[in-house]
Amino acid sequence: MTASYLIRRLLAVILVLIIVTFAVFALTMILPGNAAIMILGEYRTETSLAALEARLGLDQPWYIQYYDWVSGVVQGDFGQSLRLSLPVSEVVGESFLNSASLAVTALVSVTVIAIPLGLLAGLRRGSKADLGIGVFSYIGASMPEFVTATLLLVFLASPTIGLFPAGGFIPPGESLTGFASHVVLPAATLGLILTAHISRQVRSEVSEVLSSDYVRAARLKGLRERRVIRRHVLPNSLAPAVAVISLDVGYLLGGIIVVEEIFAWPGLGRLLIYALENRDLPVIQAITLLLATVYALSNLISDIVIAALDPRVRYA
Amino acid sequence: MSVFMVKRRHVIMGMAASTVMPRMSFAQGSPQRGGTLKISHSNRIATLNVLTNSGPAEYPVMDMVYSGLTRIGLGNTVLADLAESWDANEDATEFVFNLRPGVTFHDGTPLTSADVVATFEAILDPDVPASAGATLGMVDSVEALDYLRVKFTLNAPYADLPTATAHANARILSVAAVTGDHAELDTQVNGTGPFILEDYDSARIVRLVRNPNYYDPDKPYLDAVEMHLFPDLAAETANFLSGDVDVMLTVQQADYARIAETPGVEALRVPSGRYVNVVMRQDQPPFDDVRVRRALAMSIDRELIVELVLEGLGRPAYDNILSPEFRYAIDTPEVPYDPEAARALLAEAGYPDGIDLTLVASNRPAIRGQVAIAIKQMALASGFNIDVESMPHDTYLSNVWMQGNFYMGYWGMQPTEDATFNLLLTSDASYADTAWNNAEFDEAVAAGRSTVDEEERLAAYRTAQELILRDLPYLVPFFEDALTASRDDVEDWTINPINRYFYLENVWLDRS
Repeated sequence: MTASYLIRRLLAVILVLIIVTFAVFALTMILPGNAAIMILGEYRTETSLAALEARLGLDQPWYIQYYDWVSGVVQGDFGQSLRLSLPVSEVVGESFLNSASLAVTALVSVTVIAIPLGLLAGLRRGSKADLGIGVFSYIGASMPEFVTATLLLVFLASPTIGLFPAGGFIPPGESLTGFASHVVLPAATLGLILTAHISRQVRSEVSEVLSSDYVRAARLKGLRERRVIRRHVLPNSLAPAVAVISLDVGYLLGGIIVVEEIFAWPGLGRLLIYALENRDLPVIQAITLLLATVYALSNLISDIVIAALDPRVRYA
Repeated sequence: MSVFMVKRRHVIMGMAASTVMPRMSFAQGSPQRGGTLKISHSNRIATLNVLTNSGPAEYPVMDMVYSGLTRIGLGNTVLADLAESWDANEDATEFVFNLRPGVTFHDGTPLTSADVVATFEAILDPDVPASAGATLGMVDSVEALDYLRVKFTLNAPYADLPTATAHANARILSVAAVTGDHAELDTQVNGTGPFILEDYDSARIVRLVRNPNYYDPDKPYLDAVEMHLFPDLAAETANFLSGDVDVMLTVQQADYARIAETPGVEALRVPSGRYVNVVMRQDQPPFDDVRVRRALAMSIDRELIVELVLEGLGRPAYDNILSPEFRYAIDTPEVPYDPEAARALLAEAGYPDGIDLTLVASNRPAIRGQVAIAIKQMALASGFNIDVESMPHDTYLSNVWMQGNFYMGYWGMQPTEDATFNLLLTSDASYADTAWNNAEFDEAVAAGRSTVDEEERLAAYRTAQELILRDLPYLVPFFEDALTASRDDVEDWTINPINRYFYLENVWLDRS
């Protein structure tokens, strides 16, 4: 991998971001209504609408609005939320932290659960454990989040059972146990598909490595089975899983929007829905930019990780 | 109320005198000082700009931090607020308000007539976004007579001016705030109300503390009030029932029975004039024929719709947009559910094989769609094939509202008959979305507003309502109750049927 390759990839990321924000901007402009119409609701008059549009800058032509937005962003100024009368950076920043706390919890627990499951299934191929894990994975992978979430709510959070709160959020800084009890269900919903995905991936890698020549050679050398697995099977089958996890960040970003809405988690997804409903363009744009950046960078990182782990992969 | 006095001046002065708040609760003992009241709500407090705010959780905050010239009390009476009295000329075209002496803004500057003049001039300025402008359109000029006296000159007689000045978006700002950058009003408050803004976080909490210099030295009783935002209704209800918050600002119909049964909790149900209305444009077919409108009116089972949509927490209405709470509301005759007669009437209007219609319902709030679907099902028997088209609120506001010919409206209660009619039904109403344009009706409303004589007003508003029932500009199937709940130790918590005034300076905690 060369520096010029990296630079080209980074430029591509920037191009993608420009296209994505422009597309979202254009779509929002084409839709009927705007933030001023939403703020005034059914108490709108011609004059009050004109006055509010002027104050919010919505009376400008679209290219001026887009230019103003871009030139602000280049200088690190994401503007003012049209609906919430707060700086966008503040609104989005806080939600981003809340989303990140949910996503990290989900990713860490997935990694801790899915890799051992995949290893177990791969090492004991054809056993009852493998079969059980397989069935679990297929069910997990085939259920959309809103179904998983509803089932979890019915079985674990209904008023009669009440093991976990049905929704809401407590900042970890305020009460760690409060945060933990609220994060379980949304993290489990997000984690189920990922667990299924990653454990299947690990299983197939493990079984491939197990039947490889170098494992056969190691066994023929007379190494004990434990040492074969630890020294040869694990490193070679886990490397692809790491790449899969970084690719799954993209999935996580999509899933989080649905899951946050269901569990009333005050993160980016919920803020995005609020901003869309209220046509709060600067907030929509900032979230889009943020999500696209995270997605593009996680793809880039997974490419780099794969290249670093496997010397055969080379990018010119 | 002592309203049945004949002398005009006395009527107005009598209203000014009724400043004592009616006490609603049956609390024992005298109010105690201290404590923090936690109120939960599920709608964001997106702005603190009192000129334009419209969120259900924004109104209680505005009512705490700001005062108006006048204020609406329970039972739709006009209360004195910053104006301690007022006086009108014989034909109700000039009003002089006498301000309470010694009132200060939260930053310590004294309230004077200049602040009142600046506020109303801003509200009436077409270049300033201000929701109260439409209600105060009859005001020609506002001038300071001296330090504490303000004169309003009207372009037409308007007996209800003291009610109009109580508009929830017409609270008094300081001259500095009015002349300053209005964007600052979004996040900063300098009012004269019983509570002072301490912390504003639109995503989680708004905290207000006692104003020690409130004009009523005994009030408020509470040390602080906190408005907690719960991102969804289930979490809000659970937190209220577990005792984490003291007041649940708005209770949903589906949760009301459960909350009312819970020990330690008082659920409050206030009959209100809030309604969903079916809008039918009268300048185009098929609704230009009153028989079609009447046939649809006879196709709605009002009792059943109250059960279905409101869980019984409301009252059936029969197309009069004035609920029984209004002083001049007439006894509206019931419209029986009669699909047979409706089908016959529809045939008479030229639709013997029934009629296909598309009824638009915005998705916000959900009640519009619920009523639309109930009507669709009920009206099927009379030959109405109604296709309910649900749409996002932004599309509705831009493309259907004030333009479509058949859609669902949803309106809160207005403080007066005149405000209700001038909002929707007179030819020059702010939101005349049915194109009714009835000169006789306009005349009756104008007669009602331009006299302070009880008998004359009664007659004028009776005529106006009879015309509504004759021509059916809207179908109004029910009036929705306002629902709220508080814990047992919260005393004197109440809500106004208009849902704009909350009187938190009277609330106290009985924790002895």
